[in-house]
Amino acid sequence: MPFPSPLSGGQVTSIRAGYFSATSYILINPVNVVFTALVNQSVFSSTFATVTYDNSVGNIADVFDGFTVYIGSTSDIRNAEFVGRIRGNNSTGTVLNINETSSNIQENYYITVVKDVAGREKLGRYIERTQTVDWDITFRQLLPLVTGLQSAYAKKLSSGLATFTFPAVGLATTSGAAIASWSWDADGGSFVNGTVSTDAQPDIQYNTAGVYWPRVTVTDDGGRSNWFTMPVFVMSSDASDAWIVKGANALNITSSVGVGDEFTFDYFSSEMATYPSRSLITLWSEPNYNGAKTPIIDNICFVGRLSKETPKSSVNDTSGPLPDTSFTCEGFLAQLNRIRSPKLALSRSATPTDFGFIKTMTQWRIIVFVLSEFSTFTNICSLRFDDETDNYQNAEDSTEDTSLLSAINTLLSARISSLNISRQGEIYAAQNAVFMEDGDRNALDVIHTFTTSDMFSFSIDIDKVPTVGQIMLFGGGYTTYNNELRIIRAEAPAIASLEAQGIGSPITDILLPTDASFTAQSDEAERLVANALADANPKDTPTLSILDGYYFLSPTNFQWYKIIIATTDNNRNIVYTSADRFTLNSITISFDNDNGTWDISSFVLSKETRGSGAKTISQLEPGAIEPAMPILPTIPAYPGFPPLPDIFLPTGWTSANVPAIGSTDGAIVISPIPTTGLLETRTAQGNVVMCWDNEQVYLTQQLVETDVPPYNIVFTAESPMEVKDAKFDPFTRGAYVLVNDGAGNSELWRTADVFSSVPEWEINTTTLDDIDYTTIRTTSTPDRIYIFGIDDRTPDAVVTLLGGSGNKGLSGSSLISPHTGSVNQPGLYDALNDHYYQAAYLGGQGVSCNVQYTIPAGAILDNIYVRYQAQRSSTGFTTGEKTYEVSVNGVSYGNGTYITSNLVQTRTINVATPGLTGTVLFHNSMERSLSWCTITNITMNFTVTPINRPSLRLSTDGGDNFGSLKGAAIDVTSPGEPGYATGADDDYAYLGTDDIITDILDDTTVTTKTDSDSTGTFAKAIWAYGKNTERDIIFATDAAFGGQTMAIIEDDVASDITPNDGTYDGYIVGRNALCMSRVSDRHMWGIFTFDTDTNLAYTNNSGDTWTKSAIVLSSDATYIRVKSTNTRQVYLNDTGVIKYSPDGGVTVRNKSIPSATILGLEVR
Amino acid sequence: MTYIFDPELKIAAGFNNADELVSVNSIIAPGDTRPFVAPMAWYNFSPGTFKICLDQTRYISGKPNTAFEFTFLTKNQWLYLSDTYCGSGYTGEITIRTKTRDYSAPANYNAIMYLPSPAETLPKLGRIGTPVKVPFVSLGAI
Repeated sequence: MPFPSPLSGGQVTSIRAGYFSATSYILINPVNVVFTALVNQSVFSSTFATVTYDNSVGNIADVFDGFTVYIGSTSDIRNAEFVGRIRGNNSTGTVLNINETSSNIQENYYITVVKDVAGREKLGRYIERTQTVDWDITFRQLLPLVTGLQSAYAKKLSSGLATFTFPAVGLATTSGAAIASWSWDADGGSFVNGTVSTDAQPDIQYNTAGVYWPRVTVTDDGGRSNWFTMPVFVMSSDASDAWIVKGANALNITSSVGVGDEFTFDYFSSEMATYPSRSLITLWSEPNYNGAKTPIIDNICFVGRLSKETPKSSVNDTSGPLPDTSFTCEGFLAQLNRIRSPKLALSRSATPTDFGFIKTMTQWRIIVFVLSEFSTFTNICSLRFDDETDNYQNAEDSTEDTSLLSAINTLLSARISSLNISRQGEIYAAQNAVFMEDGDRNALDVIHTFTTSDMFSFSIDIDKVPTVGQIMLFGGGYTTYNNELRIIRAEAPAIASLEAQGIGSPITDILLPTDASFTAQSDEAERLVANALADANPKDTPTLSILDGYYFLSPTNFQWYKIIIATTDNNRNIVYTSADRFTLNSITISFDNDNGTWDISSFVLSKETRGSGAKTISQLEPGAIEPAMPILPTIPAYPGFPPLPDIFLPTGWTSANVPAIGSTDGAIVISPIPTTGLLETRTAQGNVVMCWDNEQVYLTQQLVETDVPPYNIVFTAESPMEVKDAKFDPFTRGAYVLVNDGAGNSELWRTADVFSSVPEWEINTTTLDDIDYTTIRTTSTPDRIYIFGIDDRTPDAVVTLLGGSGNKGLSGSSLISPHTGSVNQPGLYDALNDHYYQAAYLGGQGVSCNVQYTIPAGAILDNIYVRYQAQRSSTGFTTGEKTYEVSVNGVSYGNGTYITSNLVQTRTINVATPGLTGTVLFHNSMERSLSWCTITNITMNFTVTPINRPSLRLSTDGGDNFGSLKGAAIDVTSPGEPGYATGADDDYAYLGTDDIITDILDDTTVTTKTDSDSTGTFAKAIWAYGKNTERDIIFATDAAFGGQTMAIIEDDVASDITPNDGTYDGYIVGRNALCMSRVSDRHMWGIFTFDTDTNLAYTNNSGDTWTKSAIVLSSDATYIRVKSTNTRQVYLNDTGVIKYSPDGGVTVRNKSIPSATILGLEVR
Repeated sequence: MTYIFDPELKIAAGFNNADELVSVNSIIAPGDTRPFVAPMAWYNFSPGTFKICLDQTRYISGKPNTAFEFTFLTKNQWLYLSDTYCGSGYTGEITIRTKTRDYSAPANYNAIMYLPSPAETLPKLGRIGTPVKVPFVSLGAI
């Protein structure tokens, strides 16, 4: 992942989770010698670009194009007279091709070839009027490039394996060419996951720690091929490899757009002396976000070369000087700046046959040509462009006799572009975002939006004095219909003389798209000039101090960042919203050895500018007469200050009262700050309390300082909704409010800034169950919240009739069929419409039938009515002949000898066991052929028990959406008024009821806690906190000893703690009265009833001992809250007041409340 | 300030090397006749950097670190620490047994030793009243 991609919500959450550390290693390419020999002077080549050798050790076939070759008078490569590269793979058994050198190479000098490929120069020369490059290679058309790869990879062996995916992409640079084939050399690795060596993007696996140099060769359809290679550091699982430097000091990376990276570090060990100059250095940093190694970025933070070492001290009088050295490493752009760029003329040609001629000479092809013909950087750095079309074509051009970096930047200035370098080595040439069209700007990635959750501090460098100046644009190139390239020029606008202001600069040699009309080019020229003028004006350049977890961000000019700053976040009333965009200019990060973190000490952004209203004055072909530039009057740089608005003046003052600066018109007396009429007040310490009654939520930030705290109404419930709970969002400035109407309708509201003078609230989008949710619990994970409530709905019961049977007439009758039907509960089930039995002329053995039923859980069958008619014969009823019986579950419910009317049997049957099956049997024992009977009606009367169990739902997005209802597995007969808590690892929620405490991981993992005392009951107030990586510890009130005492539950096993210790037995813990300080897990506060008084009590040893405060509370005091940053600041909700104690209950202050009945409070 | 010397503080070269932990004040550096003074440690323990974002979110950054503070250190002892634990340089991976803020309970940790450089340490060596603090960073309990 060369450049950072837009951060996902999960990644940002991980970074903001509150903990970050990193392990950083410096990986140094070891001196891996693949070939040695001695110079054979006797047949020394007449050229400078080859050297003959003998006495070789190693296989010449292992010597690849680009490998580093050292030639010196000793075998110590650190003292080599010549350091260069192997040129091509065509070295023979006696001759090595090296790059050109003027070094004095002599007989029997030591030749050492090392597996290392650096960016080095290629030199050009004329040979008989033909210019060649790299000594003897004549001009060829542009070679294809390999892009998409990092300049280094690194990974630890895991289970003995390290697998890499190499996402190579080909760029056919010759006009009209296309990529044709690929070939990979894995350097000892294996192709896995079904990939092969001819794939563009294979997976290569290594099983031994070491440094490998896989190499890929790409070939286009014209037969032109090029290669790319990079080091792959395969670290042993414990990073114990000799080429890994651990414990280096003062690691610093500085990065800027257009300049690239520089990496410095101190290291005090002699092992550094074993590495030659210009060794390849890779900085590898493994992040650890909130305990998890979240794969946010590739771990490579820097790839470069050792460039300088600076001794810092050498003090030791017993063993001589010690190494105490600061090392500097150069990134690729700095290395590029060391390569000379010859002055070279470039020409276009439809069929280029000579050096310097390029077909379709676009800007990007020129850069490819300059970079690849004069250096090997395209073999080790992925190079790509934001525009690889043929749109921006140069006229005849030339490169200056400067460095390659300077030459390329000059070329890029024609599109107001620059080189961006990623931490992993990719080079991306892109136009500066502020010069793009709006559509192109909006298409750029927004990497991240910084909020106050990300920032420790910020400063904004801004000079509001407007610049006036003149921006001129010279030279736009366009192609005419006959492919003739001509030059135009534009100058605009002139609002003041350049000389008068000394500011503003022209933009010259600008390329305009060749496929556009003349008018379109004019428009683009106007846009560029307008944007250049806007960009020249002062603009905000915020410098942020941000979370360490963002250490991987790279400065670029083609990616956006956003900052959200409210007026309340700073004292200059600066507001940035999501509509403001910034580019990242530079970043400096330092590795903090003490803590193992990356401190981002400088993170400088530049606000987007957008010009408008510029007018092109002229757009002419060369030779035309230039129009006169209108010269406007110079605007003073510092115009007069406007009158002060009265809001800044002391009471009773107006602007007219303000004496002129320098006036001696009496002393100025500043009145006190008015205490009324202010829109907003705020305290620096922020002793923020939120409390609520049924209708409204109130917020005060001055509960400590004043006896009459000002309350702001921050939320109002719309009738019939009533406020049930409110919580601050612990991660933002936001808050949650939970309301319900008591009829099964609940709403969760959230605001992003509860401190705003008019908070904007949003309601959750999920339709909640028909449950009156009453409690919110936030967790230690942002946006992860639970809501709790009692599910007291009446479930739908289902009566299932299983069918009937009879021995005469009814058996198997189609009139009886299995049936399942829903009934409204409670209510009657009328079987008449479903089962109407009519049997005529039943057999001599009488008739019987039965109907079986099942009743589900929660439903009670109250009674069954069976109505039937029986007749002895068709001629009429006969008295006293035979009997009829009705039985339910074998119990007879009446019989008769003669029926003249319907027989009604009524019986109430309580169904305690779900799924019970009962049988209704009707039996007619009249003589055969003499009777008939009809069951006219079977009616079952039900009542249904409410579910009545604690339930909860979880949201992981701050309440926008909730997961499925949990709690179905909690079987609590009488939950009463439960207590709720969430665990430290956020996966557990706890419900305390009159009987049990249940933890819920999900509905399949529900654990019931058991009490250790004989009562076996828990009360409602519970609080839980994490115990490192073990399970949560839960404090709960216990119903033993005639009152509610304390119990501690650890790892599912409960034990009683004080005050049930013989000294304070019998203290009653007030319901919902527990509170834990999050600063110290040992601190806990409670409200206890001591004899007749109710007091505040606290423990600072996890409940082993308790201390009773002198504060006497009313018996219905509820809601203790402790300020998280000061465990001694205690807030209580008592009758008619909020009590505040700054010293742990020694002293107490009663604070007035904004409403007659405050139901709860929260403290921040 | 009351210093608390602790003879139970131990050190060993390399990570995960609890088996070879030796008490620091039992070590006699080559050339010396007396062992190291028992260092002081527990009050140097830091759980990481405590930071507060602009929205008042608390943020603990980094890994725990601590230090052994020697009230007296000889030149030979400095060289011994460098040679034994830092590969004759100034940094090295070690295993220590030390105490944190909960000073009643020692525990073993992997740590990286940063031996203070000669330039800043030599003036203090062999002198009473010039304590030398040897930091251990990136503590990881084992």
